[in-house]
Amino acid sequence: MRRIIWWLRAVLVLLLITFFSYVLPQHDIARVTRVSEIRTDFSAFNRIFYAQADSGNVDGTTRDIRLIESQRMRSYLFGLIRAGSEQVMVYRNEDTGWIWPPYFKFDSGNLQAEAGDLVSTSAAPRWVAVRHYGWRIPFLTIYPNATAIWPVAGPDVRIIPWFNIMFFLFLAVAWGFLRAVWRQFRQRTVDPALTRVDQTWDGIEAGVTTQKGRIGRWLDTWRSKRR
Amino acid sequence: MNFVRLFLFGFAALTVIYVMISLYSRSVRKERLENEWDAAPQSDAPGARDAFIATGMAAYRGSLRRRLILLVYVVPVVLVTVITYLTNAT
Repeated sequence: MRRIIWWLRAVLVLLLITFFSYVLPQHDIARVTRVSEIRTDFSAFNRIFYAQADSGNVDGTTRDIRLIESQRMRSYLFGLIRAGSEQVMVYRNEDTGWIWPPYFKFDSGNLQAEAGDLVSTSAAPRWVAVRHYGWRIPFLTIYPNATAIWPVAGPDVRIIPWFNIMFFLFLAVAWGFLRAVWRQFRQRTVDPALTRVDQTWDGIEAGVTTQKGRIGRWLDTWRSKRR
Repeated sequence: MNFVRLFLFGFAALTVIYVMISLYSRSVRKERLENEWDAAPQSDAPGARDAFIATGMAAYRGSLRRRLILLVYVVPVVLVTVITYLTNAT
């Protein structure tokens, strides 16, 4: 039984890690090679990995997606380990709107203009930092959503993920607080109620065994004393 | 449009959190009053303990701590505003 609970917890942790690795912002050091727009039709498989139409527009089944094509400095483990080589990366540039994920990004048009201004070649690279969320899975044709882009000094710049650090600290505090709330609730409300139920039940049981009718007492004379 | 959805859903979720924190804070205050009395009873009269706790809880009702819980509504609104500004104006 304990093993099953352990496995359930492990699966839950894995799901959370997957969820947060999609939604939380990450930073890439890259050089923008091109900005473009493509017409995209969504299928049932990849629809969830795209946002909705730009804020203020009608949401259809097909629309033009802004793309930012780049050469990214290859890195692993959320940017902690750097490989030093370049890797192709294509970002999309969509409004997230008011609902999900809570980036409240409405300026994808402006962001596209900024990215277009930062286009460079491998001969004369202009390195930028791209803040994005989401995954690049060519098999499903999904792209991470770029939320901000700004020039940096070179390809070796290290960006510290302040927001993620604060976010996980807040989660830890919230988890501790929830545990305190639950413990208080159990100690002050549940346990006394259970004790009252126990006492009532004990009273009932005692009453059943002591209050016997005449037939019960006659039957007892036939039973052995070891009761 | 979607802003209304965010507002309604956010208000519902924040109300749940507010009620939870309110009940927790009341429970902790009541427990502290009871422990304070049990450690050093001020009188032997039969209803004195209940009266002491009732006075303490009435004082809590008007206290700053209880009003601070309303920040549960304020902080997320501020956060959303700040995120919206930072995302869209840089």
